[in-house]
Amino acid sequence: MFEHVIIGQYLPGRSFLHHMDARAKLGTVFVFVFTIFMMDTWFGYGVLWAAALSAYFLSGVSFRYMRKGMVPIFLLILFTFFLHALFTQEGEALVSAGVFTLYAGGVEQGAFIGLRLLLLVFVTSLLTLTTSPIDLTDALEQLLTPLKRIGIPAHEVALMMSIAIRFIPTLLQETEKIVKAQTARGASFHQGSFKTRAQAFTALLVPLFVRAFKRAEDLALAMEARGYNGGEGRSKLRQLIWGWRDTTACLLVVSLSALLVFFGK
Amino acid sequence: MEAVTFHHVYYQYEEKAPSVIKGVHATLHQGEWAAVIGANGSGKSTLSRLVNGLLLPSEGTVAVYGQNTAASGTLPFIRRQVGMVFQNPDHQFVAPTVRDDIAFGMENAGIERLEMERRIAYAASQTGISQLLDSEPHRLSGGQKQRAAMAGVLALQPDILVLDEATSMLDPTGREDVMQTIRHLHDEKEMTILSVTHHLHEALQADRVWYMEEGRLVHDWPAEELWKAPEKLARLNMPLPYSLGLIHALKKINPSNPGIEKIIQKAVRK
Repeated sequence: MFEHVIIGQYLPGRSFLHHMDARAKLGTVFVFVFTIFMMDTWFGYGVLWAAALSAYFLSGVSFRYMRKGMVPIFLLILFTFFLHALFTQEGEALVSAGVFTLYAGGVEQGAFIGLRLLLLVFVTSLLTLTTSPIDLTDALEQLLTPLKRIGIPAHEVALMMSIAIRFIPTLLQETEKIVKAQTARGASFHQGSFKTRAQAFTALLVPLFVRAFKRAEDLALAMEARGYNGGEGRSKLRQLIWGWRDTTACLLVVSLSALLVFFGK
Repeated sequence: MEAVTFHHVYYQYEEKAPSVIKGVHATLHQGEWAAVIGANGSGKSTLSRLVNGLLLPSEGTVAVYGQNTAASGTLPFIRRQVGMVFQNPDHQFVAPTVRDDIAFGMENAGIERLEMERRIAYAASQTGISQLLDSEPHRLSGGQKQRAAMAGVLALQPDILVLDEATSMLDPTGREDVMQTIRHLHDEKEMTILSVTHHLHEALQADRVWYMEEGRLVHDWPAEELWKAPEKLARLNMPLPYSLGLIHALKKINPSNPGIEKIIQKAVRK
């Protein structure tokens, strides 16, 4: 099921977006997402979609891959659409069935929110598809560095993210092993009543957590043995390099957002 | 020169708990390879963790090049001198790629980028993983993972390498790959090595074999001596490796057979 979800996946490449500094991408996406939430007109959304599609053409990601990745979230978008369409009682009544009445305002609201959700997933997917996880955490660390003064542990947050990303495939492999071991001993994860399946999942989660804690303990020991002592005095193998692409992209996105926020409503 | 010295060391995990290391007194000289063997719970891993200060002795002292691991301010020096590889390679990787993982220890030490790149290339070539630098650790085989973990340690250029059952989770091919790397580091690079193992045929490749029992270091044999007198191990009810078992059986049949001496000589040379 999860192989079709593209959020969080990285596709190596040599496109314009791939060559951009991760800090610039993270910054522009942050501004873009902020603008998405500020927009409440169709015109504003039209402009944002045009900008997102332009970025997509600079990403080098194939249309088929992107479409495949968007399919799983359509269920969520449909759910959101119907939730708004059925429970927002504004405008003219369009259809009535039993206790439910569909209003024009609700349909418009549902379409609007659905489109917003789709745009959010589209833009964030573009970020992760064109930025390696390690660049992303490095960028986050650098962007959060000024916040150290008010006690935000920038290095620790970035390291936690990096370790979490590193352990996702390992934990998935481990889950698979436990599922196989429990299935061999009679557990059923896909059949039976809700209670039976819930019990089977307990048998999956308990060993998974026990192993994760053991793993965390061993990792802490290995890190200590390699001289880890917090962020102070550390050097970096990877250097983030800011170039003309980054300045241009930042200027464009910030200008567009400012124009839309002030004049696009 | 004395690389590691254990001076009447005791260790207990909790204050009122029984000691898991009891009066260990031993020395590991520079360039020497000692293999620690013994049953589960005999204190082998605890002993190895005392070397680089991950654990500090409850009584007695552990010193690395004369520096007491428990003295204040010596830990950075000791961590630079002693590299440690653990049992499960999957539990040692911090970064999403092999290259970044090798760099982790050097980043902690504040080493500058160009030097890091040079050392990564060197450590990868020493462990035979140069072509795997951009791979994700979870995609490697067991032997490759353990060699990548060793590369991460070697990049810090330690003089002493401590291996805590580094081959126990590997298949025979992976084990042989790792053993080959250890032999190379010992023979060519003259590294001081302390390896904890359950595999006697691995222990017999070392210069010395330390046998632990219930927290005590009860025997310190030159490995060569064990080839000549396998009955010393057989007396401890340890399952002997095939080659050593054969020598032992032949000696039992005819202790004065001159052919056995030749076999032993060959085995020792190998």
